[in-house]
Amino acid sequence: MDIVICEDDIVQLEKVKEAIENYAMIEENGMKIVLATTNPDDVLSFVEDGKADCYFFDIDLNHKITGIALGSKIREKDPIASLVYITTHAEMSYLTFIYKLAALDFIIKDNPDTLKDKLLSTLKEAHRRYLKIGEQDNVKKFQIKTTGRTHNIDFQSVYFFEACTGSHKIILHLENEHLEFYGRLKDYEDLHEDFYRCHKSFIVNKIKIKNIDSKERIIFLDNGEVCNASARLIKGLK
Amino acid sequence: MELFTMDSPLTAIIQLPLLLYFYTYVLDLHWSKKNLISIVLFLFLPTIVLYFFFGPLGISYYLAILLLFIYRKTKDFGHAIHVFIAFIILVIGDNISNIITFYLFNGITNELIMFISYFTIYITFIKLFAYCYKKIMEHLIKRWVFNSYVAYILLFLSIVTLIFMYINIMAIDHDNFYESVQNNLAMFLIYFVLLMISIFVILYLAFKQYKMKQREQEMKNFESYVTSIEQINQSMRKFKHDYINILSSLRTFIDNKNYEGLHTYFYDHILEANHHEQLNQQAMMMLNNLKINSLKGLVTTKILQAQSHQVPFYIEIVEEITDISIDPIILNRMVGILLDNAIEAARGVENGEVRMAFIHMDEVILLVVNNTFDKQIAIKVHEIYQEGFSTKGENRGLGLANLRQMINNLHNVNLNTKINSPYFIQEVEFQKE
Repeated sequence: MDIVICEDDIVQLEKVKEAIENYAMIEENGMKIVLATTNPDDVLSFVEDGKADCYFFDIDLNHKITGIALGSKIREKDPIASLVYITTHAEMSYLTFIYKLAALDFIIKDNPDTLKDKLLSTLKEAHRRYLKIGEQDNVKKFQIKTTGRTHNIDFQSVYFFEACTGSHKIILHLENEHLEFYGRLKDYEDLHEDFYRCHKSFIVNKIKIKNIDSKERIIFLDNGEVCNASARLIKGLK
Repeated sequence: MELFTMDSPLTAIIQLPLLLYFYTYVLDLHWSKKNLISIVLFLFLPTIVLYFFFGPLGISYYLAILLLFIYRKTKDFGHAIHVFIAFIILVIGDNISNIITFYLFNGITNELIMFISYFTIYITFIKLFAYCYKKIMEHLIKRWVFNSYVAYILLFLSIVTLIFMYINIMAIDHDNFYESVQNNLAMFLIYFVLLMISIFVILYLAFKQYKMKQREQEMKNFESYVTSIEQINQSMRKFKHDYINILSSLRTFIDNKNYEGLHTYFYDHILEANHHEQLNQQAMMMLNNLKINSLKGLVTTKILQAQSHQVPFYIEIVEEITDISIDPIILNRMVGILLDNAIEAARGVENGEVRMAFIHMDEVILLVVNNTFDKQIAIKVHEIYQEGFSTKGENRGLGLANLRQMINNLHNVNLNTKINSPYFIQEVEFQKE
């Protein structure tokens, strides 16, 4: 796993660098710092023709390029690399970074005692993700585009699709999540062999069905949710 | 008595399902087979029997039982008003259809033709009216929920109207059917026009009052924003003043080479005091970027509310938010519900906190509200949208069900919900124009 660090304060930079290097030496898991710099221009020229797997940036870099701008530059090229921000409390915009840049985590540098611990736990998480990238092809996924973002959904995690009456919205029900987006149910019923159109406004994932009340025409699912079935279409479930 | 005449019992019998259709359509009800059987058994049959004995008075039984059925189905007494108003409209529809048929087929004595044409006109009228009525109601409810006194006035008016109509109907002279109907209709129409005018006046006034209340609330919210800003200003001034004092006390420590004392003083007094104030100041600075005044006030109120419950409230508005393209009243209600729920859930929980952010994405403005919750309660996403759901006792869970309803009615807003322990995450996507 290749690591890039950019931090304008040279003392802080050395501290972070040292912590990571020590950790990499003990673990011997192939982590290595390929670039540690105080100047964001170095990072930009580095990603021109190379790439790293994990980036640590300070937000305020004392330069016309901020850590945020640097992050979005990286994201344009590489949507999956881990971005970690080292920041002070006052600059903390946790959610904004998570949603805009898909940042992995934040390390607060106000308190030097916790800095190191947090640095290492974040590093572990980044490494875990790095290892997972290779495995990802095994799980079948499909994409849902909500108005804001693209979600990669695992077929196995789908419970059911529900169409809203009166608007062109669909709510996708997952284990413990509801996602809302625009579309027609028709486009989703043939996506997977386990998906079944059981009602005008429902597509159920057959493997998630717990039991069926055919008298009241209700389908009970594994997570405790229920969805409706129509008299005609419920027959296809038996 | 002939069967296919317009004042025959058969007419009344056919009208019964029509009434049921009206409510089913307007209220979006779904009856199961079991329901339908009990409706026929307890609603239709007894009404028909009663009708034979008591004439139009028998209908009052129908009304009472229908109210009961609808109450059992929807658990809301407010729907009684639809029942009464619909009844009035049905009677007027009946009268109008009678008159039209009478003039259309003046001179034709074939009762069957008249009977069929009467029902064609009648059913068309009811369908048309049900459609208009539903649209009007949807519009009214979307903009603002009926407050209780308006509902009571309307209920009273419609019941009085109903009684008035029935006295009239019972006074119909059957030997002189059409003439009576015509007189009746004239009276009804005058009455109905008056009724409609008064209903509109009441609704108009109520709506105005509602808007005024809303404005008042906005003003109050905005005042608390201004007060908070003043407070921050005050504490800044105080800090400036203290600054010199702090420096000189630091100097004392340094001069005496008392580094241990310096350490405690710095960490325990300066940093600690700063942290709490910083949170508050940061929140207010972020609010500067929110350029929607009514919303700014609301969020301030909620921040203060969270503080009074000792819940840390983090807010992020990094880029300016100037415009969210939905009705501001609805927007405020939605944000209010989200924040109320988040603060409520994070209250009294260890490390409870609320985070809120407005974020400009490519196509949408994203509002994210996160909160921690009591991990001992295993919540499921689908449960929280059920009416009456709450982790904290009765009568508190209406909010999220309302939120869901509001968002279903808006075509340019989406809501995603996720539970990712320890966080409960709500994302609202407002499409940009």
